[in-house]
Amino acid sequence: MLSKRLFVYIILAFCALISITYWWKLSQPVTIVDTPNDHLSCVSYSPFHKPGQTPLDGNITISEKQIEADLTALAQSFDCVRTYSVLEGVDKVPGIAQKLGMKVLLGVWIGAKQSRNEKELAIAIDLANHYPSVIRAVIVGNEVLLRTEQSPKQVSAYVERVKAAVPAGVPVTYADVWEFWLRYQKDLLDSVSFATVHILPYWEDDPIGIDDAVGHVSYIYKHVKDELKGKEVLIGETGWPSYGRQRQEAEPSLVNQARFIREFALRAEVEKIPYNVVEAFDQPWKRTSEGAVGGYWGLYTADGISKFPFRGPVPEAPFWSKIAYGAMFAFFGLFAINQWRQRKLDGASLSALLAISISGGGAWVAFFRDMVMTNRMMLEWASTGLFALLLIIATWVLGNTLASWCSTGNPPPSFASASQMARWLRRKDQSFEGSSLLLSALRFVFLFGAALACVLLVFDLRSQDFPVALFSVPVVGLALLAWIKGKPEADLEEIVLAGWIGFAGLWTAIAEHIVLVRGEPWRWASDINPHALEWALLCVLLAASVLGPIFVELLTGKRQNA
Amino acid sequence: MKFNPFPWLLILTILSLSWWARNHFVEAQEVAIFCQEGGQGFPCKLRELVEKIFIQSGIGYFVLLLGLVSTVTRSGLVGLLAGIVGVASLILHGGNHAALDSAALGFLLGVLTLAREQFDEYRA
Repeated sequence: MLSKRLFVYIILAFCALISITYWWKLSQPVTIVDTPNDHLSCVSYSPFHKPGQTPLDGNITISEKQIEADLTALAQSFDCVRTYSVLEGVDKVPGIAQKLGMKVLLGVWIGAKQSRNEKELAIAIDLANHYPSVIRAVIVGNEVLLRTEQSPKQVSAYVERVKAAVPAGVPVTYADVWEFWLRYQKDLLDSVSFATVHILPYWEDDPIGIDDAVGHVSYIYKHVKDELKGKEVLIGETGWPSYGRQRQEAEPSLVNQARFIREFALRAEVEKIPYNVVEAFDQPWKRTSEGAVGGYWGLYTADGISKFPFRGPVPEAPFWSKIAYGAMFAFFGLFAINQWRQRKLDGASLSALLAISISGGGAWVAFFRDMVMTNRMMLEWASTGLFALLLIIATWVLGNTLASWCSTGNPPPSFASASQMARWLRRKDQSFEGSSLLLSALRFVFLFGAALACVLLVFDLRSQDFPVALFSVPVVGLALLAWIKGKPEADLEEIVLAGWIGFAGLWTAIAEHIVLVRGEPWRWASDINPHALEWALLCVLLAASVLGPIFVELLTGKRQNA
Repeated sequence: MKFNPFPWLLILTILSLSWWARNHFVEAQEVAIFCQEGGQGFPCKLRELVEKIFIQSGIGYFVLLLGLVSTVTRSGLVGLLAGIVGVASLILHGGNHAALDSAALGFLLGVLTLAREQFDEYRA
């Protein structure tokens, strides 16, 4: 009993230590290299950053006033902007850029729809003839081959058409990821004035960590130049996301984004690499197709606030750290008042509750931060809000149950299975107490939620986030309770869900570390993704909390029969 | 009553077929270019069909509905349907997250109902 209690204390203290270290680290300023000057070369500009704006809408028109305000802000730090389309009001960009003394890499959106392509081409040709001194180049098509919306020959034909229709001094190019440029160079190279390649270390088939990211971009740039037989090459997109899912060793973070941009600007200056960074403003609409990370490539937030300066140290999230400390304090205060009112407050329960408050408060704020960063629609707010509420209830119920056990040693309430709860709902079985039912309902909800997260991760590993913040406290609490009780309390639904969670957690951790590059044999990733391993550990713990006691009983039964 | 593996084998077969179709026709660059350049035949028809059915949010909501119906009515057959259409949607969703999220929920509800029905029959 005493050793069990000591073990529980050690686990609770360890979780609290992880929580406090995590938030302390996010508040510390990190020293990184400064940019060589206050101006960067060029930046991708898409004006769809305000609430509800998306180019996927088709009917939206961005006002001239918004574009002027955006470009006025960008003119402080950039000499040029790259656009992606000339529809939805973006055709106003060259005129405004001319007033502000900026240049434009004018993008023409080429997609699968022929009628829209024709509209884009006609307007772009008109703009190039009207603003030849502002337009640095016309980019006919962006990642069209990657999206398989046109064939290389068709793209080449579009480029030739534009080339023939714009003034001789305006270069015409096509932009795609560097692998596709190399793959289809024979169809494209003769038609373009120069090649525009995208080099994004985060999105590589073998993602590159921040330590090697700038070196990788420089290496690929030289490699592409060699392969394209001396043709001029522009890096049309390079950058780093400030938030989102970690891919192998490539971790999105504000500090990493600042580090990449500053180090790259320095390298580009030294090596004379022409470039455009992606992108000016965060684009919330991109979260729909690329996952949360898609919306966080901007150097400015969606509200137009600069994310980091070009000089000096950068902290990751000092504001959120303060909120986390506040939540820890609030949890502890509420727990202590509750225990005091029930006359259960003693040293044993208080120390357990302190540790649970630090872990629970930290996890809740981490989840709330995820909500703020990833939610876009009311439906998302409603569903994640429900889980945020469940996380508070889980921390409260599991915390009080564990603290009570630490203090008195009385056995915690038993878990009812889903089928028993269904019978209780149909009033066929009323033998369970309220506290037991609440614990059981929480266990089922978190088991089902984890199983659902596992389905999404197994089938869409590339863009799903690992929901570690949401599940960490409930999983550790449920696992500790199951271990304290040490008896099987599960029916078919719990067993099936737990089995799937255990399998899928391990599968995800393994799949995350396999590198698949076209034309090469598979290989293991050179570094680990700690988020994937944390998720796998949580999955195994949750599965073990259900299946562990069953296995132990089966083994004990066999031994006794023998 | 013996355990009936047929529904589970059916779901696994649909999973394998969907995977095969995705890798060989839907996402294959060569097939995409062939079809873009006006090519005809089975691969292009299949690509078109997948785009029409699975890269739409509607299919996800349909799977969710099947999953909910199977849970409420406790029908293993509807659960099996949710499992079959769900697993195909999970693989062929083509980046449509509304379809993916709702298909995942419907799929999970469906297979849980199917497992419960089989277990109850086995126990009986």
